[in-house]
Amino acid sequence: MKKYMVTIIAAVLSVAVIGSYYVYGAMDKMPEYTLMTVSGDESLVEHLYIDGHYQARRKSEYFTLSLNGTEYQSERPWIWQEISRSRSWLRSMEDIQQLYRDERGFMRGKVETDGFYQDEHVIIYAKMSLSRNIRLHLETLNKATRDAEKFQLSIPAEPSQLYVHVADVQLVGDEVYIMAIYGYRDKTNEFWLYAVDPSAGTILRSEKLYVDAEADAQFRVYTDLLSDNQVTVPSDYVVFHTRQEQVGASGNKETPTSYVNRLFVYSYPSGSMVPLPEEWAHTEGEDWRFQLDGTILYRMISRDSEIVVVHYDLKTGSTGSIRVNAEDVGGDYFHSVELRNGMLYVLSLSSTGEENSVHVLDATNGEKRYEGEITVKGASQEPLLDLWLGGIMFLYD
Amino acid sequence: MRNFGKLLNYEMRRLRYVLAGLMGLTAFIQLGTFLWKTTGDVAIRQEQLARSNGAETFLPDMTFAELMNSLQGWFIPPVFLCIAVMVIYVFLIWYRDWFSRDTFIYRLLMLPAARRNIYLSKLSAILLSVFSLLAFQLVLIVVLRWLFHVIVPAEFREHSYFADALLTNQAWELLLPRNLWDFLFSYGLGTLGVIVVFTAILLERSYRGVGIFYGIGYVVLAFVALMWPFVFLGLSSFFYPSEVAAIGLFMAAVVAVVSLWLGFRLLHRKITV
Amino acid sequence: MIELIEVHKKYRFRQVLKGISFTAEKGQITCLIGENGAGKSTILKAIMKLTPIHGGMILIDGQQHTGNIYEKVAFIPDHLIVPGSMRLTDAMEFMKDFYKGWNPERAKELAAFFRLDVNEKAGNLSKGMAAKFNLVLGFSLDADYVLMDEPFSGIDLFSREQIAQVFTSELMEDRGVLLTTHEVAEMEHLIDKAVLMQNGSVVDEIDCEQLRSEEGKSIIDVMREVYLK
Repeated sequence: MKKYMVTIIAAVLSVAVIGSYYVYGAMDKMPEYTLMTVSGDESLVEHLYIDGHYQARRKSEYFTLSLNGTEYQSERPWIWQEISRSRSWLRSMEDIQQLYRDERGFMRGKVETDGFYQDEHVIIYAKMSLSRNIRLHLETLNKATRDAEKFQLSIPAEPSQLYVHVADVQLVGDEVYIMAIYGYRDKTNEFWLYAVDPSAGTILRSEKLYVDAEADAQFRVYTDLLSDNQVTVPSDYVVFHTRQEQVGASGNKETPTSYVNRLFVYSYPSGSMVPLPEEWAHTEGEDWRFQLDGTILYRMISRDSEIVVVHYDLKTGSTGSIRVNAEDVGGDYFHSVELRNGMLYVLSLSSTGEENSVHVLDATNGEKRYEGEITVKGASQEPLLDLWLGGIMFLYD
Repeated sequence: MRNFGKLLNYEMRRLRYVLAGLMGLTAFIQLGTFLWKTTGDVAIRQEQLARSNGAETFLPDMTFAELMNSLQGWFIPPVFLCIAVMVIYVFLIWYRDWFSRDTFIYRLLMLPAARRNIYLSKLSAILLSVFSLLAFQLVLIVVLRWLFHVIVPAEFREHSYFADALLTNQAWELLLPRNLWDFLFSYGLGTLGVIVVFTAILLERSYRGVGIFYGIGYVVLAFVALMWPFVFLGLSSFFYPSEVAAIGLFMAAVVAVVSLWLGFRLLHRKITV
Repeated sequence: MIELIEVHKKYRFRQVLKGISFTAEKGQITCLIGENGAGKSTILKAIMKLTPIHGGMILIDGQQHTGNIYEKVAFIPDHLIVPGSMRLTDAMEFMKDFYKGWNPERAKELAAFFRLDVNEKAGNLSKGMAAKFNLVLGFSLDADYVLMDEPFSGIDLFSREQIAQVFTSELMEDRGVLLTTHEVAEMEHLIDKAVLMQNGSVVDEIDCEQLRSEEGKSIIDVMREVYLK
């Protein structure tokens, strides 16, 4: 037996010591923060997460908290972190995540989220890529019959073309509309609309969309599309955002002076491009955020103690605004504000750091729909002081 | 099975002085520099206190974690030495049996035990040695912590978390990850590496001359086999990320099994003294 | 009986063994004779599976090597395969640990006979003592066959006589011995069968008893005929 001492000691030492280290490590728990409901509809915050740092350790510990508690990044294995970090932006897209769950096979390899369209009957996916020509790849799936079609079409490209991207896909009647952005080396980007027959896979019509007045020597116009929270949902409208740069009087193209931002609404059924009312135009320097939720366009500005949300219904043209003050929602200042699904989510903090609350208000009429408080489990409230909060995010996976 | 135990014990006994030496050196350097610095820092504070007539020290309180952080320049070299020795021994554990005057490989191959036990016992000896060194380092840290409480008077001391003490040392952070899954992953990968190298060594020993190319070629092949899911599949995005990870794990298992099988076969049929 | 049938072996691009066939019977002492490089050591190693063969068969008691032959066949190579830092007594303990057929009493007797200090470290032994200890390790196994590679090479006269004594004892009676040697003259009276090799082939297989009684020749005579042709 004495002969085996070396091996026995080595084995016992290794297992006992390393085992204890991990048992002890598992017991070394960091505070458990949660979102505690004070009143209102919990389903509104089901997928709401707030990230932050716990500061009491030597290295600040990153975590996310929700109704269900806290998840610390360092407690997760490295592989898990890598997996969730890849394509992380997809985790915030509710409809895309649902599609990944419902149609796992169809969704394989498809990451261009702007190219999806979905209704009760069908899923359509369009993707464009650029080599010598523009290649349009179109796929449809009938949800009930499970019939699937795939088409590859070729569109000639201009020599100075740098990139192509599908910005939106819609189904109007029996035609699939594909809105593409083309980027060029020598001019500003263009929007092109293609109408495609989904059963034959042929292009019926194509046209270049003119959004705003063309640039003359004094203006340069940049155009992009407002993105929607729910990318796959059918919508008759698309909102363009243009920025006019007025070049300096000397005609020097490198030093633009003023910027004017305008919004335009395009309607697929009617083909009309209508500018939004003048009050929706604004100059650079103001902190407006735009959000499109289905057929309602919101613009929001949030300052430390006041939030203003103005909405415009693209279908009816009706408009309205709400104003939220810090006192209305408790706390001393707004730390993070998000608009989602017609709701305004506000995270407000108190300067003492002890009262941090989440309020959810209807973005159209300002009605309070939910109130929650960030608390910590355990007897002492001290960990609340070691808390440094980040922002609101929504995760659906 | 019993033969495996006997062979493992034989390999461990061969290593006992090396392990003891490494542990001793590490203990000597870490304890030595720790005592030197801790007593020094305490002395400074006591002097400050005396000078200000017991008012204050003008210096921040000492924490164990901070001490570990400042000493890592001394603590890490012996750890590196242990790693270097173990890496060299992965090769030496085989080559010493061929190139020593006694060519002990004859005796090993002529034992009435399945030859795969030779492979497995050498593999286990490497692993057991690595874990013993890790365990020893942990014990040292606990001892240092206890010494900290003994040497530093309470008025100069402030609490710090044990986990923080390990996090401040870059080598410890890697070698002793806080998460058990990360530990299993890292050391699992390390074990896989040793298995691949062992098989490469056996290829070299079986085919002499050409063998060195077979051995290096095998290591490259194993590396490619492990990496291809991440390089190719990751990009194509046809597979969901969790699926790519699962495929990667599967490939690791395949490489391990194939390496072991090949190693056993070489020992059984192709090895030559 | 150990039987080699058409055994071929290549090393790099050279044919080391070219169709070797011979037998070594139990109860007999068979000697492989040939110059250096003839392949004698290789044959012994091949039998012990210490090196692979590329053609032919090696049968031990009628069976190909399956499983474990190492309790049945003992090999005493031309050098001591004990780590230099190991004491002789520990080496014998090692053998006892692994081999069922290890006979500790015989080992002690043989070590005493050879006047070996069992507490000495293997690395401190002289060439002669190392060779003797090698024999202790080989002969203390209750093996049916003993293979020996150059047992007398570089050994002083007195040690050779001691070793030769062991050969003629009852220790060898029931066993089959296969050995290689240069020193044919020393061994001549002990050998039952001689296998002459040249360049990897067997050139002659001689029954020594028969040779002496019928033709009155010695092995050396035959060797002269064969090698100096």
